[in-house]
Amino acid sequence: MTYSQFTIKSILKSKMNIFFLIILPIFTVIFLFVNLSAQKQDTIQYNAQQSYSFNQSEAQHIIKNKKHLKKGEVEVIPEYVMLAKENKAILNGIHKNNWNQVYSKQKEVNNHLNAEGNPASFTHELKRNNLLMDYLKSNHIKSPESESYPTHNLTFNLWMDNFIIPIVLLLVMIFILSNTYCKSYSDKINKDQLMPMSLNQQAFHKLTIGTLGFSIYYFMINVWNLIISSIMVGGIGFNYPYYIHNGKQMQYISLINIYWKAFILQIFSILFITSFIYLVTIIFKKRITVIFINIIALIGLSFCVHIFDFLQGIAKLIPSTYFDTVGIVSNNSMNLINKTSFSSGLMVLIISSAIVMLLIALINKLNTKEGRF
Amino acid sequence: MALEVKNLSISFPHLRVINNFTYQFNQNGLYLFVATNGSGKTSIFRSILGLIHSKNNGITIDDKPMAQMRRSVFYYESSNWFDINMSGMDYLKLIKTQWKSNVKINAVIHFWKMENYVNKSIRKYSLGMKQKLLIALYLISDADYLIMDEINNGLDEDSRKKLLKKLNELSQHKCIIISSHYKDEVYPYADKILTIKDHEVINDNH
Repeated sequence: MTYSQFTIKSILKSKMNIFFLIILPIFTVIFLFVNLSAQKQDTIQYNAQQSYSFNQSEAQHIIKNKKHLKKGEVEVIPEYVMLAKENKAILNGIHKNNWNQVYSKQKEVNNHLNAEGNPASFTHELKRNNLLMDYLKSNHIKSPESESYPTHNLTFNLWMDNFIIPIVLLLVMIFILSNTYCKSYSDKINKDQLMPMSLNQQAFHKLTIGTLGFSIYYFMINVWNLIISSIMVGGIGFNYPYYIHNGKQMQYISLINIYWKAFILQIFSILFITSFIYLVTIIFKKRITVIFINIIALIGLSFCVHIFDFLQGIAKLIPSTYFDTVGIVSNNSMNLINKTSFSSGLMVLIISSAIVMLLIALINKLNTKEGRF
Repeated sequence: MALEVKNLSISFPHLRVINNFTYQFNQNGLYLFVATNGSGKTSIFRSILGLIHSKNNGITIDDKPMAQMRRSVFYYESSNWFDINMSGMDYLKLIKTQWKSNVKINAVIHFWKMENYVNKSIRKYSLGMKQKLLIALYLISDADYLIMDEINNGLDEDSRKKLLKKLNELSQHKCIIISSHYKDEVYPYADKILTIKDHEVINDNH
């Protein structure tokens, strides 16, 4: 049995590790149900139905009470009637499966709502929705789903990759790798130092297992998400739109462009996380300390760059910024729009991983010299 | 071929443990360390293997640094070092591969009557079972220098006798450095006795 085989077996034989590994697959099922439930109130049909009912009832109410109302209040009747009509047209379009009509009418509704004096965020949302309608129309995509709570295979998986997987995967990696790497130590003595292989060889084996193992795990989780959502909901095309920022411009691009970039960035994030956990382990050696420091350094910092202004200036240079892979690739990362990019992410993660590995090699050299052999 | 320790001194903050220990362990023979608890036996072993910091003018095997001769030495301090999720067989296979040993695993398992539990996780082992596994690792490694710290702890009398007999046999062609609470039992088999007293290692004539 090789050293690597032994290490892999020791990871898989720990019940605690298995517990951590099944968290994400369980989350997939839970969040799919959450999205299935939430998306019912976030579809074109639902919004059109609500808007139609509201505008119609408001118009009828004003007409009924015309005598008691002021002139200004009565003047809005045509506005309500028009919006009710347009929303009715959207509902008809959906009923007839005429999605070109739906998208055109939705744009008309948006344009009517886009009046002067609206809050900037509302105007922004309307413009964004118009872009979405244009994309859906030009790509002949029918029956679009909720953007906030997607449930179809590719969109749901990307939603998981965006909101759930980065943080949960990071936590799982911290616990499993800290636990595994710290097993080499007993009373701060490195037992594995007695093996007939150098400390750097051991580090190479352990970093390979961590990086490769979690890259495969990440891939498997993505496959699992796709399978479960395909079975329970259904599929969607790779040309389905995804919202991004292109510089300061809003844009919708096809999912496939996000997928491959996010996947590459995630693999390099895994490489950095694995190396960093190993570095912390060989410095501090005690499991609790190692877990605590990794949580503070990796999770803490990846949140702090979104919160503190002073960190946002240097966020581009901090590796943990790029754990939000989908956010970075789509340029939607909270408070970091236009401050990071896919290429800066690759560069920072590769350079910082190399620096961490260099530090590991240096510490191993010092530890070997310590015995003055 | 010899394991040489030159001017080894061990100290911890505010505590002197071993002072200026120089010795040559030959390629065969059984060396017994005798000392009271806490006098530094384990610290000497750990220092020889570079597990803890020490001052020395070289610890070598055949004039080569220990770090280059890892395969010539086997040391596994205690059964507490085992990963209890793994099985005895996992450890035996690992050590056989790593030390490139020709010793047959089944022969060692049979010798220590470990057949019934060797494939179970170490979590289920009694102290005696763990200790037998520890001894089996030494035998499987087939290393030239076997450094054993209180290896017969937790063994019943018959097993201790069996172990000493085996060690006596091995010491004809290997160097065995051992510390033991059952020193009276080991005495008759020891070729050299090293006593630690007042931070000094004294070579007793035997």
